[in-house]
Amino acid sequence: MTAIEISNLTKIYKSGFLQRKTRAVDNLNLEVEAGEIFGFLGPNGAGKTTTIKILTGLIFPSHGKALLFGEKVPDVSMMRKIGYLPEHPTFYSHLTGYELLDFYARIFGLTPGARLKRIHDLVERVGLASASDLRVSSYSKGMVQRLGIAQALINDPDLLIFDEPMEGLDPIGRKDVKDIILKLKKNGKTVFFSTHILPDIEAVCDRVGMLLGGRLVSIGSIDELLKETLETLAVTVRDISEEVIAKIAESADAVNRSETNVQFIFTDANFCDKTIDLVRKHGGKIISVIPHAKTLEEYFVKRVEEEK
Amino acid sequence: MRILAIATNTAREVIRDKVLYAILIIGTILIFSVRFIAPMSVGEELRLIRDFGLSIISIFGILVTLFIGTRLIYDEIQRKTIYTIIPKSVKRWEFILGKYLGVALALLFVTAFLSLGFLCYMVFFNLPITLNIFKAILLELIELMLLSAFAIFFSTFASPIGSGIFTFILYFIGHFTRDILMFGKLARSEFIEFIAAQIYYVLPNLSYFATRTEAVHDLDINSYYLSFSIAYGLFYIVIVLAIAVLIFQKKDL
Repeated sequence: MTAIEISNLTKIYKSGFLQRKTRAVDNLNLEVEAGEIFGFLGPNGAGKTTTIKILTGLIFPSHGKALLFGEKVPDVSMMRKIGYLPEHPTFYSHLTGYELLDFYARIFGLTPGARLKRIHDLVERVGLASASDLRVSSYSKGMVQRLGIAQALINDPDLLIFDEPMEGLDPIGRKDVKDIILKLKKNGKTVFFSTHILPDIEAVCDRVGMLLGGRLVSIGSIDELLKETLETLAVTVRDISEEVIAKIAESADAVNRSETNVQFIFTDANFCDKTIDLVRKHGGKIISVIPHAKTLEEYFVKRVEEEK
Repeated sequence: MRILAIATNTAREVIRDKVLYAILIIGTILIFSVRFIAPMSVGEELRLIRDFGLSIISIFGILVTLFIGTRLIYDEIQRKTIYTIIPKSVKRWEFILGKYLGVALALLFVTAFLSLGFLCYMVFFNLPITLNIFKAILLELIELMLLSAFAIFFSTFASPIGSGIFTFILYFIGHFTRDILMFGKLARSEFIEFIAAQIYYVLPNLSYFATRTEAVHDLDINSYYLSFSIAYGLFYIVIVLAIAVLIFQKKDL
């Protein structure tokens, strides 16, 4: 089943006296299957938050449509299956964490008993059990983010839409969020989240979509995306003559020299084998052969530069 | 259920606001300060006390309406607290209605608190309390509820300062719509007469809720007048909130 289906989605903002038009999302087409963890990637201003705000019914598209579980946004009965964490969430500061979650639970019509149990479970899960009786105004940024995740889960939704869920969290907090996302997947939930913290995407996502200038420029699994890029191999050797170094350097992409070692960087593995043979033939020593796969971050930077 | 949750949360937000306590304390002190002014009006003490007490309830009610009603929707959007409510299967009209009912509850609390202070004063000094006083307070509350509906309507598209100015102008004009109509007829200009007529027919006539003089002078506020004024106020509230919903329905948040 398709959890999210976006077709020809376009959002044009008009601003200023002259109603200057800005195309925040440009003819976006995207599908996310139920049970997937989908990472929505893109630099600031790429249109991630605009897309998410359309999906959650906060803003309206200029063209195109968005369906969640086959229902057009914002179908109210379908929205009951959604949990949403906005970017930089802010909450009613006059309430305590518990009161706030109780308020959201009441919106969903949970009974007092069910509310109590659900809130207790959630504050434990996001690590806010000891702070649930404190006013939200006294919460740190990380605690607010955890509270944001708790409120998104209050209705036990089938689809979680998180806008920058790792924002403001320390490494432990980020690990906790990743664990929550993975547990949600284990329970059959769909998670669609935007982030610019790329290692987090690599750690948890089944598929990734990259948005640049409001357009989807790449989509696929991490492996599929990184397959498009070349791996490099770093061969470090020692005890070889300048003549041999010069010969190998002709095929290498880069040569780095230290006092005792020489490192050759290859993008073609065949040259690596030839280098090893040549070094051994001339009595040199192989110190290390390290394959270096390009990270999503490098891929991301490359695509952004290409688009520029 | 959703409307009730939003309404009670809004009322709680208002009631937990420290500014409200300041308003209530100052209002109560002012009500009791009439003790020092009353002796100056020889033979008119009772009327002065009633007039003063009802005026304080009215002025402080309007202050609360302007202070809270005008920033309610605007703050929700600016602070982004609405971002975690609308996606929770809350219809936009439910949100507006919930916020409005929350303000109405808060106004009920403010009016009840100040009225209680006023009545305590009357009881303490053994002054007669008439049914007309309660009727005047009830109509005052309806007027405040109508003004807060307008404040919410303005705040769907204007800043709190803008909404505050619009609401205050509306309050001012609302008490003089009949005079404006008369002025239009006397102006001998078709254009001015047309504008005056539009103001008279479009804006609410708030003088229907101004029964302080009757309460002060023990003049009758009959049931028909009371029922008509309440129905008139509620009718306007529904219309104004419906227009607010229409605007809010298509608004990008």
